[in-house]
Amino acid sequence: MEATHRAPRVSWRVVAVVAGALAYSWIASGLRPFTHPEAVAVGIPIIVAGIATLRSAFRPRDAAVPESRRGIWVWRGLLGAFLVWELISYRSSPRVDYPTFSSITDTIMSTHPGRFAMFAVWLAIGYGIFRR
Amino acid sequence: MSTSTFSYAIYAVIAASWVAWGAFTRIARPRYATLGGIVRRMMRNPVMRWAVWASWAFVGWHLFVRGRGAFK
Repeated sequence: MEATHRAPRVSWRVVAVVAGALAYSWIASGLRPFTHPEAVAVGIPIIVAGIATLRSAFRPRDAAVPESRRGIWVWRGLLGAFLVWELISYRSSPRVDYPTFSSITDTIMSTHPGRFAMFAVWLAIGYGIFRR
Repeated sequence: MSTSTFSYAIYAVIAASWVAWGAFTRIARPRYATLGGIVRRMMRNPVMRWAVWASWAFVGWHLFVRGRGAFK
């Protein structure tokens, strides 16, 4: 019997988008914080995501598949635990003993590859959320 | 155990729990709510979709443009 489906192939468009996003992340992550070029580099994806959000408001709703709400309290609990600990750390000092999420990411982003990885992850999360 | 080690351990426990629960809900879907499913549901709500956008934008701006100075 002949196989009826093939393994999904990665299109050139996807490769181009990923390569473009990685190149953009590398350039944007090479810019210095508190500067106008960095503000523009971060602002562009934010504006694009805002346009996508605006467009989704005018798009006809597709028949949504009902999704389970079971276990949603676990997600709320994890988010709550993170926010509470972040707040406790933020209100405490010295920072070296009470690191916040920002101070941890600052350490990761002290090198260009680390900053690039963080920027690429932020961009990928945004793509995942706003592509619909 | 020093205070900083304890602080990092708390973050590590939260992160590990996040990853473990995320993996479990993906394996056990559609019985349990996945993070993607929660975000999809939020994006259907006209107010929540802007809250998601603002949260994502805030994280990016805070991390890459303002640094920690945003709250100083």
